[in-house]
Amino acid sequence: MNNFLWIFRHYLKKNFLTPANLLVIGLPIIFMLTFHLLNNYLLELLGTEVVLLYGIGVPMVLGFQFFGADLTADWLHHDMKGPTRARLLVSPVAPRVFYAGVMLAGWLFNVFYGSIVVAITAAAFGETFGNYGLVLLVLLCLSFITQLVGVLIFYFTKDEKSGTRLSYVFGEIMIGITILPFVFPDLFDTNGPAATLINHFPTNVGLNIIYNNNLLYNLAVMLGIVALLSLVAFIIGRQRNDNL
Amino acid sequence: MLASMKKVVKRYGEQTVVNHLNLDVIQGEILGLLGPNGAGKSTTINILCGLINADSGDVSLFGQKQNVKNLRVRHELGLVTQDITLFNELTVVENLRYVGGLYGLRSADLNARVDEVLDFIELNDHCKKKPKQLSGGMKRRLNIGCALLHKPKLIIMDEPTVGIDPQSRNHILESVKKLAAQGTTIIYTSHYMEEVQAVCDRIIIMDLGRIIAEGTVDELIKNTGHESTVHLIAISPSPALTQQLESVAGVKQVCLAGNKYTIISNADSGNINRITALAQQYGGIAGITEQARSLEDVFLTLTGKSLREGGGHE
Repeated sequence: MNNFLWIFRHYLKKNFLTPANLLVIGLPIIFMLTFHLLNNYLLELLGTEVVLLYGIGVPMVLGFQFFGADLTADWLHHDMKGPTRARLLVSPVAPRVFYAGVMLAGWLFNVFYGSIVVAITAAAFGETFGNYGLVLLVLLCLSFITQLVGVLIFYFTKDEKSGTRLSYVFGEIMIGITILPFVFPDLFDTNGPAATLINHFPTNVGLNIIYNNNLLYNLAVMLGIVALLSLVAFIIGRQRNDNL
Repeated sequence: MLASMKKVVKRYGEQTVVNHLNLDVIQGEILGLLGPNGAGKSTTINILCGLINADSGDVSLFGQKQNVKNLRVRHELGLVTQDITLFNELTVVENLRYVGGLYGLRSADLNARVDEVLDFIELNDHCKKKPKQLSGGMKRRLNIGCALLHKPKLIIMDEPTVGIDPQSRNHILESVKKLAAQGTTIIYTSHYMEEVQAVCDRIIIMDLGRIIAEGTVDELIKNTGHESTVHLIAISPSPALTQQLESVAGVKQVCLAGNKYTIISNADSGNINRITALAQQYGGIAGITEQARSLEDVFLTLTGKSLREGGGHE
């Protein structure tokens, strides 16, 4: 096992042992359950079917992926800028290997947790995901974007606290943007600038891929976002690591 | 020569923290690095470890050029940091295993080495505990253990005994001696002069980014002209006696508190005999002692500062 795998294994284990990560599974399921019960209650109360946030399970799964950025930024802050910085930097492992280890662990962990949420929402709440191959592809892309965002948050914030704050704001914005078209569908039926902008956010691009809307175009956009963020993280990473 | 720095300069903005520093580390020695706050010790250590690059000058370690990109030399280098650098989510044994793994140790080799280090730092009974469950001294020992796993040829210890009880301090000092006896070269910095005096073979005193003196403790004391202090308890202290004492050649200062005189005079002036004679003339002596010259005196003379002035580190 080389050093990269050693570090990857360490952070993968840490992902599984971090209770906060249960939020990625727990929160979308709690929301789904709440909406499900509310729908049933309104159905009984009014005697007619009320469609309340129908189909919100898929955007929930995608939106909550972005909370993964928080832990990536936190751990990099703690380990690479915090008390253990000197211990790691004096070891014969290049900083980029640490970043790669943290990112890969977070990436695969979030895909795994996302898949569990997909399975639960499909089985328990009857959410339809269509082609599960495309769902996995979207999860792989979104989770990777999440890790890149986590690394960028780490580069651009001073400490763990400010990193956490920015990650949470970012995660909440992403969830909000993802579910917005479901809450106000009329607003996003048009081809106006707001709809165009929202439709090019990673989660919404992911939704379009899953729903097979303009598949090739959206796949290209998703891969473009991955490539662009990777390039930015690489360039900034080189500058920052040269000045460690 | 295990490590050497030639004309090394490091600046932060306008401030020159390390100023054309020349330093050699001889294999097998325990080298003490002393200096007041802001002397440039930590920066020197960081350059030597490859944590930061020097602005100019040459740094070599084990015959290789040292800089932040050189990862090969780090297999032979151990750093005991002043701050506790432990992973709080891991137990004692997991901390050692993880750090050992970073140095390429795996499976049976890693297990054997972790056991040896646990024995060495005497934390066998606490190996399942997490750092927050350990005392300050135990954390320091674990911090040292993490730097020893890969059997480095050179260990740099930056204030390894800060904030711990005397028992743990003694344990760490014994460990330093044991490591040296096994052939490990050690660079040791501390704010505790008596520690440096007790363990180091050779001492370098830095101030303002430069080396201002180096040698063994005896050499430093011998080579540094400084003052000696005589404590005299007079039976009948008087202004006349004070005046007489002040007039002795080489005496710089006479202080009287109650019946106790503190007399500072040039070292090796032989003034204790003259002071004794004078005090006998003016009513007699209840006691007289000449304070032995120490490393602390040398340090004070050279830098004009006490080693523990200010606190913190540069």
